[in-house]
Amino acid sequence: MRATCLTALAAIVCLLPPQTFRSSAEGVRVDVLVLDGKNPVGGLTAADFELRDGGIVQTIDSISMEDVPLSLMLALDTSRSVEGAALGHLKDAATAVIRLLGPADRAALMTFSGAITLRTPWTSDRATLDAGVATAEASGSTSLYDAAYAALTLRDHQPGRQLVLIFSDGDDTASWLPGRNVIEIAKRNEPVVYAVELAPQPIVVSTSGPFGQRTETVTRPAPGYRLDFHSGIQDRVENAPNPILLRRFLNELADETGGKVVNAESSERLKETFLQVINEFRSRYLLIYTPRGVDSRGWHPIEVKLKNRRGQVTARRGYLR
Amino acid sequence: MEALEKDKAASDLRLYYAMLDAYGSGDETRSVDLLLRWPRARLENALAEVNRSNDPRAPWSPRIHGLAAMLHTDVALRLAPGAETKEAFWHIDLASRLLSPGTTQKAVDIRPLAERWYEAVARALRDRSRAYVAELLLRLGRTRLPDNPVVLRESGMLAELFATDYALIGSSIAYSTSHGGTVRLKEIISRRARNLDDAARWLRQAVGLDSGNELLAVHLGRVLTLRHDDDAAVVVLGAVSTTGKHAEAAYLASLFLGGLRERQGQLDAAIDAYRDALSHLPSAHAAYVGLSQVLQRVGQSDESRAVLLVPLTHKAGPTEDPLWWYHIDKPGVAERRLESLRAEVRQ
Repeated sequence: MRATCLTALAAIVCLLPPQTFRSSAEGVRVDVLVLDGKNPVGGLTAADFELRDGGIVQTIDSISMEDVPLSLMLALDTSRSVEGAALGHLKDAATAVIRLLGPADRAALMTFSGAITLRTPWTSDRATLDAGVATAEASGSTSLYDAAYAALTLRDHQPGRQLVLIFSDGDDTASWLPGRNVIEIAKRNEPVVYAVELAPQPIVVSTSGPFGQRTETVTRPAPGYRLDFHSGIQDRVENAPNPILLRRFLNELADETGGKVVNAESSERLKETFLQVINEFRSRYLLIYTPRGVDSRGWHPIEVKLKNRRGQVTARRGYLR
Repeated sequence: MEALEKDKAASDLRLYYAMLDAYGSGDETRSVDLLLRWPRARLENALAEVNRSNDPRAPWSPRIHGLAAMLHTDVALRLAPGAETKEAFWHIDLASRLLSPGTTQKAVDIRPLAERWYEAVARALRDRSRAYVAELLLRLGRTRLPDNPVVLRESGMLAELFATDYALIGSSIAYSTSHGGTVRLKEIISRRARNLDDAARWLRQAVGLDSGNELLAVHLGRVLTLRHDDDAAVVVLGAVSTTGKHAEAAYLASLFLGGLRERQGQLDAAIDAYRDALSHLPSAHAAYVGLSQVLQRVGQSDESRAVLLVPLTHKAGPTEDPLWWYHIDKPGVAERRLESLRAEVRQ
């Protein structure tokens, strides 16, 4: 049986393109969002940015915006909790995003519960993507970390701008991988991660104490991903301060990759939120530079600022090569 | 006055028997509904008359013991999903006493039924997210059915669950819009260590009494891994992985070995372990994800993607991973186990 399995793997390997962070001869690609308040800032040129790699100011070779095709990986949580109306809203949102793709854009569709399923491999054919959306069903637990890993790993081999849009309405309950490993993988891969979530609604809790009855509004999301005692591979828990231990997986993943976490608040608003994400992503700048004066291997922290302009810049924290 | 009360208790005992008879004939809903309407004092007074001169069914047969135990179990399970933990546990305690060896007058060993009862009820409570009530139940089991492999196995597996999925539950973490979050890490770590110590002790005892049970050995191996007792874990998991009599147990043993090796930084050994896991169960899921991730870390990106695509595109058949059911029963299994016990006591 093992021999059969390995033979099958070898066959698949031959069909797949190589995967690396694009930081070799063609230069490093950094996807950058510039906002003024909530609005994207357009019309910027390379001269408006200051980009540092490992603290060294770099020359930006090229800057582009909407003219680069989009490669979108949709990774959708279809665990039991999205059963019913929410699944319908989620499918509508995915379909609306597919409608928004241009002729040169490509997308793939992945759903996850306990299992992860690649429903539609990379394609620019909308009908194939729609068919993938139609087959999604809700059941089971939530392998959020494993799915995020898969979405990052199976990025498109075409030279488009890589966006992973993850939707999840809850926290991980079934992954093999710990969140920490996935964050490390994200540093090695190019895609920008936008996460759309349905944050838990606050609940009112009454407690009795020495000073009598007290009522407060409380939200109870799961604790930070560093306190994961569920996954298969568990390192010792670090003795880190509260803000680090409470840091949530999707927030960390988005920050590391230069993306964002957006709370749709209700499933009815998923379509609107998904479309906002795509539109915002299209308003980002793609900066390409050839690293100079920095080490060729290891972790490269990146810092991107605006020169003489107002605006909030979001970009990945760095890259590994 | 005292005589009147005694008459009332005797009359209630007859009503209680009517409920038991209804339960015995399969009318579970009605008998549970009726019993739930009785205040605790009324039930205690009626049961105080058991095996006395007014008791028409004295001495109780093993069948009555079994029926009563299951009736009170069903009452407890009806109460358990809500907040009535104390009331539910009173019925569980009563059922446990009814199934304790030596409670039956006739020379029938009630132990096999009791053993199955502890397993079925503990699993049913876990299935209903009442794991802490399950622990109270198993505490009774460890006292009333000492050195029993089933009770020890269930106790160890529940302690393992407390150290993993439940590790953060229970007042250690508070999120508040007004106060921000706090984590009492030392408290979590020390409570988890106690859970793991208990789990290791009970699972070791259970393995000693039931050495052929490979899935039980996997639980022990994983608990040893979680305690960072790596050498002992490798011995236990390695034995199950090599024997490979039970495909799911062998898969899980190899999978956990992969995780252990990965944590140790022995990535080549982790790759071997994940591949072993897949040789036992090619249609699994988690081992592909683990293998893919390690391959990516060692720079084999192409193979990493190829490995990942196998479960994601169902190239090895429909995906099903025993890891998903490692801590919980598949849907319906816990209920079927209870139903089988009900049928047994009704015979």
